[in-house]
Amino acid sequence: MSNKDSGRSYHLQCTGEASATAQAHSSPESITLFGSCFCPFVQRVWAALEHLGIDYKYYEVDPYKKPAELLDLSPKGLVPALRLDYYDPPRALNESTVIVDFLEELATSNSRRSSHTTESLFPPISDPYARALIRLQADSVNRSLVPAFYQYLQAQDEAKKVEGAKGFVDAIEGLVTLFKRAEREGFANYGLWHERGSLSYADVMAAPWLFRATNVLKHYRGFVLPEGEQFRAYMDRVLSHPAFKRTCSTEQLYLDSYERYAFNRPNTSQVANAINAGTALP
Amino acid sequence: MSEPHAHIYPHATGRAATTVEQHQEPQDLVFYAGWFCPFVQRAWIALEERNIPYQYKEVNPYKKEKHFIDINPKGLVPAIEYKGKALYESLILLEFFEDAFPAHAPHLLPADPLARAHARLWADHVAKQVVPGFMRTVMAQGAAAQRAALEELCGALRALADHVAGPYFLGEQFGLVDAALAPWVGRDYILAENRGYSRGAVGAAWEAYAEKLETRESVVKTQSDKEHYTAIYARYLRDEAQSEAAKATRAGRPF
Repeated sequence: MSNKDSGRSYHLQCTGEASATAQAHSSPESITLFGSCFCPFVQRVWAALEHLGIDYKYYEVDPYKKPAELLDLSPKGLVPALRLDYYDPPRALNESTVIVDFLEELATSNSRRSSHTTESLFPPISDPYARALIRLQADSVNRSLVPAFYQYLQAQDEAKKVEGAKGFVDAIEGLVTLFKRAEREGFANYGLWHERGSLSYADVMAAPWLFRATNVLKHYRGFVLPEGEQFRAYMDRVLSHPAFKRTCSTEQLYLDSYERYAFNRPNTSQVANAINAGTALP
Repeated sequence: MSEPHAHIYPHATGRAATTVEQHQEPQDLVFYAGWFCPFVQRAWIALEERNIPYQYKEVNPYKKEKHFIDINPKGLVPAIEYKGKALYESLILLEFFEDAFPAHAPHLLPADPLARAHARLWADHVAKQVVPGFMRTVMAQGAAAQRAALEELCGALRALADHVAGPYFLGEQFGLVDAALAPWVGRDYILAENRGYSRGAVGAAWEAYAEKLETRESVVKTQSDKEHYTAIYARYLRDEAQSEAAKATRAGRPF
């Protein structure tokens, strides 16, 4: 665990498996993902693209420099942004949840897929209740898990760190409760919570922060994941899922990029500012 | 500690009361509602728009009844029980109604994926900017805080109004964004009377759009008499409310 801010900055290029994936998707395509190598919201979209087998180009941007090409697509200057060049003029999409919903709908209408995969992040429309439970799980991630992660990481005094840890664990437990509920309703095929389940929308929503819990929270807060065989097995399945793994950089990239959050440097990001101000995340 | 639920008028009034009366027969879909709750009204508007049969059951969310908690541990409204399966969260209910009742017209989302994404993006804006902005303006204490909160809210409304195709958000068809937003339009007189808000000050586009939402039949049918909303908002205006939304706003948490 480190105790001093060494002034490290966020990275500008992917490393490890993510770098290979970015390379493999560097040719022009009708769909471009504007992303940043460290950003968990980008990783949601990226993992979804990989899983759904949709043709795309990965394009790295530094969102903090507010490049014009990003602002054209995203007035708030946020990543992820999707540019759709099969429209004239090109259209843009923002918000990771909206983008992933969109990609799912593209995929299930079988347009823009690179392979003959029939992967989907949702149960079929013929099972609306199962779909709704997945949305509830995703909602829990956005409402609780994500803010709790930042509250914990940005906490500076010991009391707040303890509170933050509890908040993050509570959020995980809230999500697990919803996984168990879907299990009780008999939906064992949807979601990695189940041994024979497939990657779900909710898993994609949660995975980037669960992953950063194992490196960033561990390093800066000494965080240890909750015990429990089923939860640990779930974590393994998520982190080693090929579509997710392909979008992960090496540990050092995340440790360097998150130091600014860990020491709550002023104006670290719009997300960090919102946490400090107690307003909704952008 | 004062008991807020003791002061809540126990049932819908005005046009909403008529609608409640018309939905007392048992149905596959049971709709658990609080007549005064704007989140409930979103789902209620959707049910009415899409002509989905439902049985309306009034719940006092501050005094939680056993069966209700059994099916909905968080105890929040709106909630539904559909063929014995329980569900909650207003926007998730709207998506569920789309999936579960494909044959009921009209739909609140268009067919095209990009148009659907556009609708969801702006429903997200309503959830993240407009609703919290409304709550913060109501609960702000002192002129400076109230002015600042109001200015922020108006900015969010202006941004939304800029994207209204007209007459409704996506154009001719009433949809997701309209249903997500309408309950707060119906309550904006609270801000006009207490926080110096006016639709005109936001802009002409907002004023026109708000008027369309307010007069939509499904919105009118689910609206109770103003005086009863006023009584409830009195607590919020003094920052004494104890609803989940109020507590979350005070603590700076999402809700």
